[in-house]
Amino acid sequence: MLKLKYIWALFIIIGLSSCEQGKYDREIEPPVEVVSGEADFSNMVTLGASFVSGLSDGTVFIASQENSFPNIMAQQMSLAGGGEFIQPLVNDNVGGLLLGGNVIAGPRLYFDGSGPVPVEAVPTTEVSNIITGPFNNMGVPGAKSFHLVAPGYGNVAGVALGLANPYFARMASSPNVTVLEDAASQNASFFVISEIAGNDVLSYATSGGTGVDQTGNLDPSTYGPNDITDPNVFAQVLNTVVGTMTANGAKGIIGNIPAVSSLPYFTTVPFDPLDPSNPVFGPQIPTLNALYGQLNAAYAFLQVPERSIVFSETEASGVVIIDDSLPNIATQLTAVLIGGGLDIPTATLLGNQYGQSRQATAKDLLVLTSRPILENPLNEAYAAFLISQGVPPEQAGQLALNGITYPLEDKWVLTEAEQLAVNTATDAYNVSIAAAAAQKGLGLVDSKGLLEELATNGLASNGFVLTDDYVTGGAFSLDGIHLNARGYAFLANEFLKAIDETYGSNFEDANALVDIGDYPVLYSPVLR
Amino acid sequence: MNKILTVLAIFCGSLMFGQTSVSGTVSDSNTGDPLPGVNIRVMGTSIGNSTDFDGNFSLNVNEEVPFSLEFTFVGYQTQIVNVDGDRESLQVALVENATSLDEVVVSASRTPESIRESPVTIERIGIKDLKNSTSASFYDGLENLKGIDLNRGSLTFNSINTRGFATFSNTRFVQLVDGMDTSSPALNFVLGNLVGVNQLDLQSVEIIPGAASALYGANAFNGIMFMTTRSPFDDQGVSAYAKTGLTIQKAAGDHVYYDIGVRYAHAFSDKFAVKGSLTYLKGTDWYATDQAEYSNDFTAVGEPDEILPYRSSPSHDGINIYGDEITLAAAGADFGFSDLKGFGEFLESQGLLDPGLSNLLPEDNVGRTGYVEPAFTDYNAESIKYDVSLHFRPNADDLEILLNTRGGYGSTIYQGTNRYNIKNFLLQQHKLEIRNDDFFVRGYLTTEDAGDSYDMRFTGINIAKFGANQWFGEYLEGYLGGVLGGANNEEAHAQARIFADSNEATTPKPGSELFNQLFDEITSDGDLSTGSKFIDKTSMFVGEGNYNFARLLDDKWDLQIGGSYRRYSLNSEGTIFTDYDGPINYSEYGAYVQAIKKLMDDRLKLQASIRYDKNEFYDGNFSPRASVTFAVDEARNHNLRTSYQTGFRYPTTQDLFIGLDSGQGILVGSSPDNLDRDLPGTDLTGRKVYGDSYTLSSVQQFQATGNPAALVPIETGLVQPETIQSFDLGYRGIFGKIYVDIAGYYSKYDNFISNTFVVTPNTGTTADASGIADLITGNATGFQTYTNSKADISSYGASMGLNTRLWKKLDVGFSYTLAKFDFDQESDPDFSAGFNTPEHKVKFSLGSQNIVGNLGFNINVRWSDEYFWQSTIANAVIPQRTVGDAQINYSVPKIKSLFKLGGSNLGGKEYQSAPGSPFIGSQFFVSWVFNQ
Repeated sequence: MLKLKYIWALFIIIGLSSCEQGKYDREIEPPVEVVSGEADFSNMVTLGASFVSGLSDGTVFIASQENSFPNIMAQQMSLAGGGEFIQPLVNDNVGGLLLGGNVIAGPRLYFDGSGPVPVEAVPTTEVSNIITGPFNNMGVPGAKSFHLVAPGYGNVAGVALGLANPYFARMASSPNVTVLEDAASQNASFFVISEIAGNDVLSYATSGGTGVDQTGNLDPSTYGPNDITDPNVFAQVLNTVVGTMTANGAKGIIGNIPAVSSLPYFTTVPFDPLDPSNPVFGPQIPTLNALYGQLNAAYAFLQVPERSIVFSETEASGVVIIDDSLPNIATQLTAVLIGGGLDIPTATLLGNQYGQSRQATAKDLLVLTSRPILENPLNEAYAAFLISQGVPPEQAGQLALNGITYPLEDKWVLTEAEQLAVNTATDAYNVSIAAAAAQKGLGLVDSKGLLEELATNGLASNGFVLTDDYVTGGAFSLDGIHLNARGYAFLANEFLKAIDETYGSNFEDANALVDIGDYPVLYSPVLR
Repeated sequence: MNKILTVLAIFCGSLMFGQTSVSGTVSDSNTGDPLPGVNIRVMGTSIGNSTDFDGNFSLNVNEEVPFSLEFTFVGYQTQIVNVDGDRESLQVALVENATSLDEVVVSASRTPESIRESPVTIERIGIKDLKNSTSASFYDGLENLKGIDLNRGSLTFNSINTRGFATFSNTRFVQLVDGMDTSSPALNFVLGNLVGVNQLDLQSVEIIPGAASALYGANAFNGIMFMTTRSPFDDQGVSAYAKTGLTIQKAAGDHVYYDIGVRYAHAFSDKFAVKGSLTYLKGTDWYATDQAEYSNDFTAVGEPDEILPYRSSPSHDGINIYGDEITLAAAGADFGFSDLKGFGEFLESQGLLDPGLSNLLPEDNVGRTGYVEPAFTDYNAESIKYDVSLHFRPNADDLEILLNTRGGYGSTIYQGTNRYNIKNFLLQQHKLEIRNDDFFVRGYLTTEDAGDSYDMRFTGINIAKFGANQWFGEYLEGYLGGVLGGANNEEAHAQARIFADSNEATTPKPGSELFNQLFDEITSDGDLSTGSKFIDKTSMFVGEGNYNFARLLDDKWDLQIGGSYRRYSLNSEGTIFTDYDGPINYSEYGAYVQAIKKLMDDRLKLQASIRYDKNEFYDGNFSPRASVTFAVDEARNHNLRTSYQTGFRYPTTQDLFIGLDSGQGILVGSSPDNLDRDLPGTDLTGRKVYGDSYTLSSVQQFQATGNPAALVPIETGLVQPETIQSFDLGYRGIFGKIYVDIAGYYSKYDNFISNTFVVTPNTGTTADASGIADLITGNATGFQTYTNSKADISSYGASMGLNTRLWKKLDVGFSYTLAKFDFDQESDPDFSAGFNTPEHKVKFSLGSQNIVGNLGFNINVRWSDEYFWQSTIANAVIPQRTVGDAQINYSVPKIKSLFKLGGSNLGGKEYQSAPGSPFIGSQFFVSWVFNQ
């Protein structure tokens, strides 16, 4: 019977070893479940202006809305109980708006290989075709803080008059409802507020400071479109908005306002594009300096030598600009020039032309839109004016060169003083935002700090380094102010990370942030 | 023709002797069915013949009457018939063996013994099994034996694995044909049956799983297989087969193949006989088209690779895609960039790209697109085997002198580190042997010529090097075009690839004039940095002899002594070995003695043997073996066996003398003679590499951390022989009508031959800071060295076979095999054990020689567990599988023919033996065998 024992022993071996199943399955770490922490993403409402709406390349279009940072966030939140996120999608990928069939906002920009060009197509989004909400994304391009609580801001009838906002008008639940009311009525479980004060300074800045700093004026109804909103007005609106959104206990997160100096709109065009190696400009330098020699003598005589204009023959020189913070000395200048021997018409003309001008310095920011007029400097309107004043055409042409002989108008330049006004207001707004967030225990995203880092060292993510360079920086859209899809994706990740920090969700740890490489830098010219 | 020769032979014979002619029929005593293939021999002579398909035989005998005829047939009891004059229609009825225990095997003890007496586990197939084989070739059919795995790398090149640690290049397994080692002298492993035996000429196959070095010397390590051919004295006449069928595979489609063979043998007298055989096979090999990448970037040694789907990254390196190994990181190494962004910045610095644009580029490495394997081969599977031998028996007794030449020529695909198209190779063997029942002395020479063989991966790599810089430039252009046109990263990569690939000047399409021109240049160039040709004209001479003193000792003892000598002549013209200055020669020899003593009425058999081997590079090595077999009962129906075996293998010719620049590192063999020889691609010598280097892993750590303390200088030990000790325990016996064979073993391995990777400073030394300075300046070279692992490895397993016959007609077989190994990865973290064997295997067979009349059939079903395949090409888990083969056959004795219809992998579910190798599809065949 010895043999049988061996057989049984063998069967025991077989039995033991066949217990191990799937022994070669590699221990793959199970995907970490995405959790929302204390937050409830089931009904998110986002409130703000153009960034929230997903505006890119100068306008809003379907693709840009789909890549809005709130929508990107919502897609990731769907992994952690997030609900549907409905956006007021426009009609096409052309962008722009119609009102009563007339184009009131032009199509989006595309990159033609050298610069931004509007797509050759007609917008089809008719503002008066009111779409039915509610919309989770309440980002209203162009809205200033106080507009969020302004009745009638969504009234189609007011759009043509400039009393209402076309983007809100097409989505407002009724003509007199406010943006905040439409947001609040959705009873959000979670909200995002971003750059609601952005336009309170931005339109001032983008207009080259043509508006008025209304700090101290507490009545926004008296403000012009390009004015800076009083910080207390903003603070009051902010508190109303935050108070309303948190009334039912909703959690939320707020982003603050970036500094304009971080935006390529202000940093792309150099203050000193006048390069002596330029074959058109270079040879003219001696002539121009001879011309300005007389003017500079007059400035010296008037004790304002800092207004002197000299073009270097070895390095790039600053353009000539109007600085409306300078005293206008046209009369005195004219008198001195006459005293210097010029005939009265010429002296008057030059006195007016250079009475409030100086050469730009590194502290001046030229806006992106000034680039075409610097590339083709002849200001035909002014040349025509000069000719009408009896100046010979050739000389009129020479005196009507933008930034060289014809000082750049105020709207093209954000001077140091104007920047100061913007920055002061921005900082004040951001103090209010931080305070509101702290008071309500909300998350805070330091958009200002982020964009400063973007502009100084760049921001690295997923193998890309985003910078504030126009086009090649990879973060900003062609309008130079708003982000592109990749930039918005980055911003969405930053918001998600801040939510992680505030509410204990785990988007970052669960690898549930987006890969910014999945989002384009530019949109195709043929996208419609 | 044959008849005339026969007549002539008879005529010649009758001039000298009086002749007795005997004819008749042999049948099964039980069923009355005629028995084909029964051996008939005149006792005391070597004269004989065998029965035909009808069981008929005829014999003309010169012996004086009376004489005795011995009728032997596998599975039947031997019968002796006395003849006292001419006999016609002699009727012989053979009685079937009660048991298969009476089968005779030779190889286990180098002397014939019944299988019950065999001291070790042994598997055998004979002529009857050939008829029943469900596989298109008998070699493939070996897979149905218990404990035998077949690694299928190609239609024609399949590799046997017993007891694990095998790849397609199983250097731990020996295959002998009539005593000749058929392995390739340069590759050190056997090319399946491409250099083997024609099925018509096959007498038997015996396989001993486990170590057998005590009798068979080096490399009989994990197993040994013996193929024996038929003697022209015993099996005469013409036989032929023709086989055709279809191979069906998803990747390749359906292809017709055919296989024909002929054998002719004739004994002119009882002193002189000749034999010749020839086979020709042509078909289409299995395609290997796996485009996935097997990445071990984030997996530890001993874990399966991460399998990344096609194009999962821009630098995707598909396992059966060649040329995609050429990456931007490699191209940019000299310029200091390693990714697309770095390339852009480099172009900007050269003024070749507008400033700033590089910022839009990702930090992604990019690889060329490459070509899937079918671009590099027509998958021609072709095999010609020939065999001619002259046999002379000067005394018309058992003393025989024979001269034999055999060879294999053809094309196949072999998978090693890369996949090789073995094209028009020729391996020949020439043997002179003198033997009788007591001794043999033989010498044979094996020569090989790799013909037009080439490495398919390096073909792709060297084609991809063509125009690579331009291609990368166009890729970058395409990427930027994509981004500026609105693409995201993934889309931009896709557009860039399409754009760059569309330029046929850098990316020739397979079949285009440029592609063919490059292909021809590269595959005829043996320098791997520019070409892919495999040059090999290595040869090997073996002389060996054995004397059995049993007869001198009156069969009281069995005492054998023997010895062998082997000489290699490596000749690769400097392309594989460091033989740039002419062939490298080296030799080894061995001697052994074996004693067997039977006691207790032969029920107890004791056996002991020891072998001494010496290679000119190594100290002598003793391999002992001891075994006991014991028949528990007097009827010898229950037999136990146990043995202690040792085995060893010398480092292969490549381990010793390789000198090859693979592009990623230089491979340098570690024989003492190789250390001072020139190496390709470097001025360093092996001596410096083995004595004064850093480990690669420590250099990688240094590069990552910058901490010189991380560097580990290493003196790599020169490779030593690998050894194994094995304990076997087994039982063979009969329970009622069930034949049972059970075996278990435990093996322990020492000095497993392995590779290490080192980095050698070109001018400095690891002894001081000069080595570190070399690393910092990139003045260092990477090498792959050959050494032994410190790893503690053991393996154990068991097998059980059950066979029975039901209703006198139906043969049923079942076997189970367990194979496990034990290895502590921490004992040698970088060592890849490569057991490559399923833990559980179950095999089942059902068949009948003649279920109804002349109709026979057989079915084989094999299940094997999932297993982990580790090899240099990839590491992956091979899923479990069930494969079924079947055949039906019909014999037509009137025309001496057997017709068979068969198919393998009938389920059609394709399976892989290993990552990178083809998925094996189904194969159907019809065959006709004619046997005079």
